[in-house]
Amino acid sequence: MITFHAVTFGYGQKPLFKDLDLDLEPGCIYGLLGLNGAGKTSFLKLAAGALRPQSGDISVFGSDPSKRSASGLADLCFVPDDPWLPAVKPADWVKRYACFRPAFDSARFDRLIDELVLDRDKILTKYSFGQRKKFALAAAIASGAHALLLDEPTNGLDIPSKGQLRRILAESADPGRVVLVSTHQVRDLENILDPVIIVHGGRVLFKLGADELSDKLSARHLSSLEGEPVIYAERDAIGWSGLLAAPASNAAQSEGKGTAAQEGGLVSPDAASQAEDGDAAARTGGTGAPDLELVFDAAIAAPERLELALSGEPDALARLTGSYKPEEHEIAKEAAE
Amino acid sequence: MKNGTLNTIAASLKRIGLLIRNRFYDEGPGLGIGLAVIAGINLLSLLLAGQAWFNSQGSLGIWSVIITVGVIVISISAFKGMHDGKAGVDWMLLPASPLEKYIAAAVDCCIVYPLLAAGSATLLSWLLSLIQKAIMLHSSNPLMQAYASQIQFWTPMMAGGFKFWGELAITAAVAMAGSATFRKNPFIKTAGIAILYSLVAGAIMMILILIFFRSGNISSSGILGDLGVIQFGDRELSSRANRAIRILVDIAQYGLLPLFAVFYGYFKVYEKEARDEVQ
Repeated sequence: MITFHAVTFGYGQKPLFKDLDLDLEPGCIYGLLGLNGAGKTSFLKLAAGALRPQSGDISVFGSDPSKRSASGLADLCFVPDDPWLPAVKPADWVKRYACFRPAFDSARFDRLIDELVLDRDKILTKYSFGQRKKFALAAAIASGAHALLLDEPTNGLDIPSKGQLRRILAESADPGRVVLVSTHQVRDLENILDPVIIVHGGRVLFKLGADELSDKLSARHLSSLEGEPVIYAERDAIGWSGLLAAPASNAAQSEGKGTAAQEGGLVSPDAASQAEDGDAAARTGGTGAPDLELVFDAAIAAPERLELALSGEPDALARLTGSYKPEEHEIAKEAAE
Repeated sequence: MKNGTLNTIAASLKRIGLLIRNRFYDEGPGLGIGLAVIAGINLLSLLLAGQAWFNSQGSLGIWSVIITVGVIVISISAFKGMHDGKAGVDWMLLPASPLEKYIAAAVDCCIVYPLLAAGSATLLSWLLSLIQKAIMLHSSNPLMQAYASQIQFWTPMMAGGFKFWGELAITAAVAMAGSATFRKNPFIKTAGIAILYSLVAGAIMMILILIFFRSGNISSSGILGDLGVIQFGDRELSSRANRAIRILVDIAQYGLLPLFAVFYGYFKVYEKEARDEVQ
């Protein structure tokens, strides 16, 4: 378990985080989302012990990372955005560095090296950026550490490698392990991140589970915003891509309107007909599933509306309906432009 | 409980050993090149001038100078990796405590490398002397043949005994502290600090002497000289005072300085954070 308690940290006078509280439970792959400069990397470095908080406490599986004890360090693994590797071959790397991690799984590491098609006879410094990244991720997953802290793991990876990474990450999820992934590229890892943590303005805006999102929200394409309980919307070529304050089925039923599929026309006819037949799975599987990127944008641009929608308050829908004003939200405005 | 403690200590010693081994892997090739260059220079001078440069009469001291320079170069870069924007994070987060990392570097710079350097220098100097002897004995010149028996080679005790090696360890500790403190130009900055330290220590000593011995003329003082007598103008200090001052100087040089360097360097390593990279 990773715990941040009243953590304040900053560079110079201005704090980046102020009185930050957060608990990360094992068994999950957490997504850490935030704008550039929101402090995602600093957050990971604080959890890893590479940075120390100005005040507050951080605990990683009972150990204070700022003390950098050998056992504490062996129980966490931080993979930076641009990992450094020494000028040795993979086998020599294992001999030199894996010996510091008692739980290192050499067989798994070998398997990952093969899966990621990394050259065993090449000096690590001769690897490309993407290869270095894949090597560092393989080493982290095989490290046996209970806390994996991955900074922008999909950055610089080609499309097949992103798929491999998704699969490997999903496999690495373990009931006793916390995986924390910071990313800009939400879509690359959208399906495996659960829950997502959105940091903005020096605090955690939201910590949202996938279930919570799909239970309470839907993302749909709309021809207009009128009368819809919209949290946040972006104009695109064929209308609006909007985050609505209810799952597709509930919204359609409660508003007595057609489904997203009918309005936006963005799902297959089959899905649309299934939706008409009242198949909830088809409705959420089409445009109904909450889009993480849209959720993220909404969290930044309209946090109070998202909060209201997630609050479960009985009048939340009524309060949101028809009150969305895109011009109030900077990101929505930019998207419209 | 006792077993647990012992296991912890053993594990810690094991990690220190692994860290020393890794440092050696990293720095070994550079040291090998340095040794090859020294061997090459001497072999060349042996072939061209008939005498190994470093082994020639009056030049044996060069070995000690080379070892000192080598140890300073290694010690001043002891924590280079820690300051590197990218490698530094890896260095910091390698699962070994800051104390283990510092001890490994200290053992390396103050013990392992001086011993290795002394051993290599002795071996190289001896080999060169053997080659030189062989060349001289096979010479047709009887004078050269007679001179062959006088060929010397360098040994660690020629460097000035244990005092030299002790001072070398102190120099290494100071250089390590500089390496832990300064990210850029650690050598120049550490040398500057060392000079400043000497000047300040000298000035404090002079002021104390001025206060206690009321001498207006301190220009002729010879505290750090080898004469063993400290004079102020026309006054000579008593042997007791002389001894007391020497003890103070020794405490500052052999006690306070290395202690300060070791603790300061360690805390710099402990406090290091990865603030140089992006947020």
